[in-house]
Amino acid sequence: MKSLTLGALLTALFVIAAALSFLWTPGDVEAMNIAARLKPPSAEYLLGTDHFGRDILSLIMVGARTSIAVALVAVGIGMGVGVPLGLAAAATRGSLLDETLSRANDLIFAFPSLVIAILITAILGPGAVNAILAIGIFNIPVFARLSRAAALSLWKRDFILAARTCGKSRARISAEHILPNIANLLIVQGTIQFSLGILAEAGLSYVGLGAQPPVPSWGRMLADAQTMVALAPHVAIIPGAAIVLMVLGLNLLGDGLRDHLDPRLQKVRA
Amino acid sequence: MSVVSITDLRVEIHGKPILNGVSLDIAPGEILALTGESGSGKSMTALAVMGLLPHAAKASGRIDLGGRDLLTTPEGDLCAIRGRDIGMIFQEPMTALNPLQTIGAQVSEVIRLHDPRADATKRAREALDKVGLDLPLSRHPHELSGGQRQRVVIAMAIACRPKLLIADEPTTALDVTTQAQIIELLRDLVRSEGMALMMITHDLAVVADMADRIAVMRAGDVVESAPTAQLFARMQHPYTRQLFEASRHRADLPPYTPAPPLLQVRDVRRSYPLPRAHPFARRGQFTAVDGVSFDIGTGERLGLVGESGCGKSTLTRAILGLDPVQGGQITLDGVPVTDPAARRNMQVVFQDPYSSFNPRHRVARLITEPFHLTGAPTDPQKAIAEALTAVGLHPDDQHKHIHAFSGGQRQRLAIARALIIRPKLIVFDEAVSALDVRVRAQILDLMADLSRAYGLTYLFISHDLSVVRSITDRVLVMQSGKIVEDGPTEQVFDAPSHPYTQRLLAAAPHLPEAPDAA
Amino acid sequence: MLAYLFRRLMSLILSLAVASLVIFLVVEVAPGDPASYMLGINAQPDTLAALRAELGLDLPPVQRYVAWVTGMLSGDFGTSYTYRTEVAGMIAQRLWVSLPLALYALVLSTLIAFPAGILAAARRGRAADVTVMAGTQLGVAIPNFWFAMLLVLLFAIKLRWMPSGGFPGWDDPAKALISLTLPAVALALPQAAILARILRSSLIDALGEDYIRTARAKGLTRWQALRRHGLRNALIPVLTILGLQFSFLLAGAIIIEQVFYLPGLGRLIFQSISQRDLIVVESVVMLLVFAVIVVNFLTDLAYVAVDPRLRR
Repeated sequence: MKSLTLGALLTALFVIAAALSFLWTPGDVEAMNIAARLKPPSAEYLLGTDHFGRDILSLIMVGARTSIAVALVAVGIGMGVGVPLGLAAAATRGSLLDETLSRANDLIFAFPSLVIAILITAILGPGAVNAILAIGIFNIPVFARLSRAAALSLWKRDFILAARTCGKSRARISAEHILPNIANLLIVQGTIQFSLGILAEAGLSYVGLGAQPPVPSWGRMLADAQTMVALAPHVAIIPGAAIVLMVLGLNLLGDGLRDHLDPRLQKVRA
Repeated sequence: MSVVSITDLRVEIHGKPILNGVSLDIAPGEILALTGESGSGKSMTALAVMGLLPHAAKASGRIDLGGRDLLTTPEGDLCAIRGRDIGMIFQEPMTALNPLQTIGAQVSEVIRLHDPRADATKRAREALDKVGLDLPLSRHPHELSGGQRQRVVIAMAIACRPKLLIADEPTTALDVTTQAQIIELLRDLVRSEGMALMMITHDLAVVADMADRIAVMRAGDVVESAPTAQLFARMQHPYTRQLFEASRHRADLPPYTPAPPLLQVRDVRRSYPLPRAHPFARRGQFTAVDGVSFDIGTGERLGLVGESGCGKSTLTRAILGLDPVQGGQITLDGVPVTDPAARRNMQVVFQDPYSSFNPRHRVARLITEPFHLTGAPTDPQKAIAEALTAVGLHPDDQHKHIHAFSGGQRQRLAIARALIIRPKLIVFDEAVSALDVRVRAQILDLMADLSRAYGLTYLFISHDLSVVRSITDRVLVMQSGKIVEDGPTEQVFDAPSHPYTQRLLAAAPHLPEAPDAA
Repeated sequence: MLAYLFRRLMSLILSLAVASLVIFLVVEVAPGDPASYMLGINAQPDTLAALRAELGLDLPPVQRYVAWVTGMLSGDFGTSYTYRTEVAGMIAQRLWVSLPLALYALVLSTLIAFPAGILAAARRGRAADVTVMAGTQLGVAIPNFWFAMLLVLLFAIKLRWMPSGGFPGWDDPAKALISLTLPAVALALPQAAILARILRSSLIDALGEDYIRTARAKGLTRWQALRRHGLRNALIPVLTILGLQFSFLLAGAIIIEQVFYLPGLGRLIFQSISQRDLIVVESVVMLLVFAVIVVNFLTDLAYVAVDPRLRR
């Protein structure tokens, strides 16, 4: 329960900050002010300023928008494509479809995801949309595998056999009996993939393949900060800390949800 | 002088009492049976003696082993006692052994642990010989059958010649013929080694002709404890009597008047491809059901018995139309069972009351699922109320979730679900095997009542001979995919004609005759 | 066992075949013509055509694919468009940085994760477990390139114990190892956190098995039961992760190499992408995929060594 609360609070903090940034930020993220560059945190600039004199807190807020949007849509792609595929594979266990999907999954897992993400964004051109695509593609086999494995164990349960003796089709059983019973697992995995997506987006924009300037992003802020680490450590520390806190929050939320959702399932089973 | 003497043992977990002052003594060479239904505390008693209670458990009282109180003995000393002075055998032979180690390594480990100077390999061989297992020490558990694995577990338990042997449901997971062998082995070991044996079982019949004394437990109390013959003769506590009655309960079936066949099974064959032995080998076939034919008449209650792996599950799935068959035909009222028209007339009740229902739905939705076949009736509320009432539940129960019900109530719900479309045939697939004896007796009575009220026709599949006897008109005995015996139930049980049936019946444990009413 | 190995081997070959095809196709559809990139926008059409012919770009795709694959099988990865040198040589040179770095990080990660994971499982719910779990929770949340920056800030800039980047070559192995230390730590720590968590949960699963209860009934202490019976059983899922981690470390070093200016495969792939040196891109990606698939195969072999049930 404790990790659930802490995770939910941290996640909510960033989501609210991102939402708020549409309406208001403490400073202007596009106006440069060379006179006030690389200022350490102070009352005027809560988290200091960057090498263009922009308010870092404001950049973090707007950057959260990019991170969350990219990771969320990537999870959506993974779930939207992966879950139906996994359910279909489980429902037709051992069929050509199942075999092909399993092989394709194994194959995608064999590709070093980061390299391919880099390749995709390099070929399609850098940018947030292509980053989403590159991250999303690798979420598909994760959800396909998870939902297939979870569904397979459910297909052996007696209530599924009972539904089959009631003449229900495999598609209908998948939607009516399997999906609701694996929803918890998918939610937990969703938060984990969400946090991995944030890390991946940060990595891609760090190497210049994510969201392009002037759209602020946390990874890009770190890349800009790299040459100024010695001069002004805060420009490197703060965006990184934002990533860590956001990812930590999501992971805690995922763990908390798993603990919170699982005992009820256990109770039902026991 | 007792080997072990338990005095006023109390255990509670998170403040919930599990044992309320259990006192027991076992003498050398004596077999004490600890019996009772699930949740009675019999396994907890054994774990307390082993010092292996769950972390959250708090124990008080005294467990005296050779002048030492095990409850106050520090963990380090307990480790020296476990395996050397007390050996333990568990219920599940399939999972009790480490899958990655050879059986020789696992047996010799206990010897090496307690007697570092002994020739552990030689003594492991001796222990395995003693339990009648002449397999090489280099075998891994997955190469052994369930009965063989249980022998390895016994060999580990007796390898250091402990004074006390604890066996927790050692035969429950085994087939009836294997069970008879393991029981005989345990009895011989106790007699020849002079060990004391604490035998825990839910099945009175198993210990009836084995135990010297029987202690009956209920909800954390020993309600009655006496020498076996005396216990069966007197049965002073009403609970003992209830258990005994329930164990040998015979449901009162209405008579069956022969009628034209409803279900026809003709030359059914079902086989599976085996994994290839090597990459270029031809795929072998395993024939699970091999040319089976039988009929069920309208209103007939047919039993199907056989040991695990005999093909009865495969046959059941084929009858339910879940799997295709490779040969032969199964028809219900002349319609192939894979046809939706036949499905509409057939329902099933499964073994495990805990996995038979989608935990996310409420009762009303759960038991009306078969309407998918027939279309919803004009008054579904009436149908739900009727079905729930028929199985002894209340119409208001329809709003509850499944976790609000006990195992026995869930089986009632499963029967309600099967009944709701008034099918012509119900398949009971080990439907009472997971239930405690008293609940089982109630469900059997319910089936008899429903037979009277609705003229049920059913196929009752079970590994348990005594249950089949009490609830069927005719019985089929299945072995290695074939029906080896087919006849009226009483006739098959009183005068079995096939040697396999004779073996099965001889191996099945029997309760003594009922004493005169007390 | 033969059947199992044969199946694994077939799937290894099939994976490699499909992977090479996919990589070839992806690079094929990539916009941009290497020849025009090399000659600049003012190139004459006939010089362009000549260069395309020289590079083999005028051949139909099927022929180029076959040539590429057969070349790789004989160790000929082709010639770099930009540097006009053997790709195989370039890769070999870079591998001498990336491979030791990945191995170094893998060793570090294992050395950290095993004691931590075992300790946490053995002391489940106690202070040691809570501490380890909190540490791993933080470890998985830290982006490795940011962690690398912090390491540079502390050890290179403030304390001046280590170089902040660059690679002096293997002439002086001690110096080379020192310059790989910070990158290896940056790579290893987040991986160690993942590995420790998986080891812990898989050990806890194993400790709940019946055979552990059997072992305790024999008189083994909790610790002995964990070490003799739990650990090897828990190793099976951990092996999978170790296999995945090696490939991740090999490929994941790409970003870390950027932070530390290391002349490894990662920098090679970035340079090649920006210069449209597709033959190098293809070959490096194929090599990385090859490494992953081979490591997966080795993991399968390791299963056989651990689990007798696969040895039938």
